[in-house]
Amino acid sequence: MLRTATLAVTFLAGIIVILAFFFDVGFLATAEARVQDWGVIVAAFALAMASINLVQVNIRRISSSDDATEKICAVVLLAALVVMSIIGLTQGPTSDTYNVLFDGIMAPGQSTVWALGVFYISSAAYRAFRVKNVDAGLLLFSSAFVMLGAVPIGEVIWSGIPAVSQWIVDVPNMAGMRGMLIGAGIGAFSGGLRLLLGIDRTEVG
Amino acid sequence: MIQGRQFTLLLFLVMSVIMLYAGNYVRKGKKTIKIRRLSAVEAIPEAIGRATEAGRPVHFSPGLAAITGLDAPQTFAGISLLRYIAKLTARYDVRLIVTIRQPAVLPLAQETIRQSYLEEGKFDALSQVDVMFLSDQQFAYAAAASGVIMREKAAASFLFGAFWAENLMLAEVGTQVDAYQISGTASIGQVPFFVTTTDYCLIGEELYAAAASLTADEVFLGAILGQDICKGIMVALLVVGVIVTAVGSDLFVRLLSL
Amino acid sequence: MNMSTSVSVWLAALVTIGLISFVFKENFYYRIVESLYVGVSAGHAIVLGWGNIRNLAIRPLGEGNVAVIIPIILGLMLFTRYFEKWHRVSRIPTGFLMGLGAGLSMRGIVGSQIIEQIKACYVSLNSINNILIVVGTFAVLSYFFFTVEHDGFVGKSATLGRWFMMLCFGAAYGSTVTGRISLFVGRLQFLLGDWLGILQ
Repeated sequence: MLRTATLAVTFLAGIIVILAFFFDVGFLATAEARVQDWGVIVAAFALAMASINLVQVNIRRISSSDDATEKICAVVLLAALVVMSIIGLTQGPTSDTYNVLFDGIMAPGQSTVWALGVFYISSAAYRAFRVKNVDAGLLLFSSAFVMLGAVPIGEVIWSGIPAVSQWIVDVPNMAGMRGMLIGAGIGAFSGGLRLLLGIDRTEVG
Repeated sequence: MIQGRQFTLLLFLVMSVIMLYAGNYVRKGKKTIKIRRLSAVEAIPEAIGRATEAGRPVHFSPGLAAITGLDAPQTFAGISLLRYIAKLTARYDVRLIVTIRQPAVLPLAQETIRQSYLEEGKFDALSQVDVMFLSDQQFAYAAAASGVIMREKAAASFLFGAFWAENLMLAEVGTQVDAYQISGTASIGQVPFFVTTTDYCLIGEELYAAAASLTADEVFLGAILGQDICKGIMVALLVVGVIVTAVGSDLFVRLLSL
Repeated sequence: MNMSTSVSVWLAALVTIGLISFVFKENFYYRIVESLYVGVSAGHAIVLGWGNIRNLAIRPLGEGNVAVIIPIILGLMLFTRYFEKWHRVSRIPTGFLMGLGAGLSMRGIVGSQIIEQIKACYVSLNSINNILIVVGTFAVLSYFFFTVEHDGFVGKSATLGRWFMMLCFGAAYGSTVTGRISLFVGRLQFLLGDWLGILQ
């Protein structure tokens, strides 16, 4: 009974958005908009549940860890969570205090972690390009030309580098991308279909 | 019918019918098929075995995509692989740590793991599993998950699902703690970083094939056969369309634009 | 040299330095900054999540839109997993979200990821580059055939497909390197300019 209900809900949610995409029927468009809004609401409840999980995990870190640093970090995390939530819920997400925390912690955190990739990309390249086979050779050839093609020194080394770089991006890169997108699209479609029809034995089945 | 979507609907229906028919065909035993081995899937038990020997935990990430977005199938595939990996960690009594970015994936992952441990008769060992929601912000998740991998010294790290710019950080930190890493993503722009950093990588459609390979055999074979037939149709559309276009007709361009 | 007096710039500088320090070695400072960052972002998510519940559920309910009771009930069902006897009920809302995701992705994939990509290959074969794009797409697709042995023609085509993919990966790698360098330079500019005031 519960399994049937779960499969029915799964199927209905999916089929409504699929039919609304293909058919210009008023009630389908309304149903789709409603189902999508409902998705946002259910996801917000999921966030509440996930926040409980975050708090539980960190309380466990405080109570059961022998490591003082671990305890301090968990306290800092919980304090930051509580302070940010209280300020946001009481003063609103556009208040000055909220903005100080957002601009001072979240925004730089995001751009710094993203920028850190520059260090990781170098060490990954060092390891990858030590491998001596055709695959690694092609990867090295392609990445070296595209990298040099994007900076002025590339043209100084050899005037043809920008042209080769552009050719790699326009031709082999395009072909590789298209083939992979088509293949991945078919795979994703197949997975979605099996899920909607309850063919796989999944967590919802 | 919405203009400009007729051919999309036709292809949608054709693909659905083929996939369902292929599934039935194989289920009824009308055809025996052999499929290409996926080294990344075959390496999973070895990675967990290594964690067992080292007495260190296994880390798993189902990627960063929401289950309500376009990349949802990647997350579903990641969760299918989690089901298999959780069975192995239950069987070998290895600690499993799952880091989550999307809140809605948390109950899905918890339920999947619970089921796997039940099936292995190791319900009590669930206390050895940590399913952690870290943050729904991409880079906060990346920083926190990297910290978890490093502090816990994961002996194996599985990264299956949709990843973006943070994937290199996760994989590189895994390398720093000498984790046996197996990855898979259909986020094409991120595949190069997994290919160069992890021990095995499932590229694009291989992620879905790997996920299907862990379901009941006949379902898997049917799905793979259906996907291959659909690919055959796309190849035919490609080849015939290119030839027709090359002789100066725009028939196929118009057909696909319908 | 005009060092910043803004609280958020100082905070941002301390967070930036703390996170960069992870590259050298995980340390106490990094861990504190990481905890702070994760905690603040979780708080931010709660604020946004509450905004969604208020705007899409509570407010419409107050205005007489009783239909929103359905997603509220679905949302509450998620919490049944805390009760052993009822935990399976939480599969219903999860199934709803998964069904929605499957539907949205399936309908989008056929057009953008399959038809548009094939259509883009319909070019006149009057140049080597056009021929290479068509041959490359064909070869990469052949790599992804799982029920056909990779030997003979299919094997050669799949190998060629793999080479095309490696060139594609290299291009992505190369363009990402330059992008990440720019990002990192941006962070240095922030530290030396906005914070310390050394750079103008």
